[in-house]
Amino acid sequence: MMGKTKKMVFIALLVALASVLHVIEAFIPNPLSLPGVKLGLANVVTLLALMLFGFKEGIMISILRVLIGSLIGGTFLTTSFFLSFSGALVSTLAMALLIRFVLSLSIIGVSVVGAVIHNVTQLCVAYFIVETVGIFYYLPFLLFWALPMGIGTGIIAKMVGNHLKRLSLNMTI
Amino acid sequence: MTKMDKILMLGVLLSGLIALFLVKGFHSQGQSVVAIIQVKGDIVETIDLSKVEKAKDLHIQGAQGLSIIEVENSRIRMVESPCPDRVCINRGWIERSGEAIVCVPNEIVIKIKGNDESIDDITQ
Repeated sequence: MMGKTKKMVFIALLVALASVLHVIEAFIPNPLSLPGVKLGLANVVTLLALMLFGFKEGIMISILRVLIGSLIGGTFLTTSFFLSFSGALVSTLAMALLIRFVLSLSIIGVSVVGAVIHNVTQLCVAYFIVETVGIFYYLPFLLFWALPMGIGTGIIAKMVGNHLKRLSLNMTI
Repeated sequence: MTKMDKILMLGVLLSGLIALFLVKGFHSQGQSVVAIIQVKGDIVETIDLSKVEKAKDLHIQGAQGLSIIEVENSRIRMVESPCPDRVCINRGWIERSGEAIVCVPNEIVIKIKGNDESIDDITQ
């Protein structure tokens, strides 16, 4: 197990990393000109946190990530903030439950579910903001987009996780 | 990647396809538009353009004479008019909610109205 201080520092690092990814992601041009289509890079960190620590830390990191990321990006308390916040919260919850209770899923599967839930949650919240049923027109495209992005972030999280575990062993934490 | 992962991904793909299918139906319903034809300000004909399957001509008696209006699935145009300037014919097809063909000499107006809130330009 990690020492208390080491854990705290590590979580702080993860929050910083996730916040930066959150901000950078907003700069990447939207390839499909569909709102809400993102790479989901910040999700890598959430997955890592869930893998290495657990539910509590995962939720904490994703909430802090959205707060800090939106403050840096200048979207705090705007529509996109609420979309990010709700999506991050619900998808982290879902992924944490999957990691704990559905052992037959690998981290890639968990990531795909996270991506899907993230998009669906955002769409539902967006529906309450704009109050137009037409917004669900985006649902299939968001679902299709969630698949490759979920697989991608899952693979990255798996690789980074394995690497970190090896490092941790060498450092005898 | 475990077997469960693959099943899950297939599930996501399938639900995406199903959603696409549902949305297509929902979208064409949402886009249903009604053309209103007015002569001297009175509505003489209302046609649901989304329900028109075969192209047809409508003969409308205007102030100067007979105008022929062609209706196709989701669009409408003026093809014949007794008016001298032919502005209404040159307007061509109209299909979006809010568009209109106005023939001043013959006093015929064709307007398109969406019959529910569909996606507007801002959300598109």
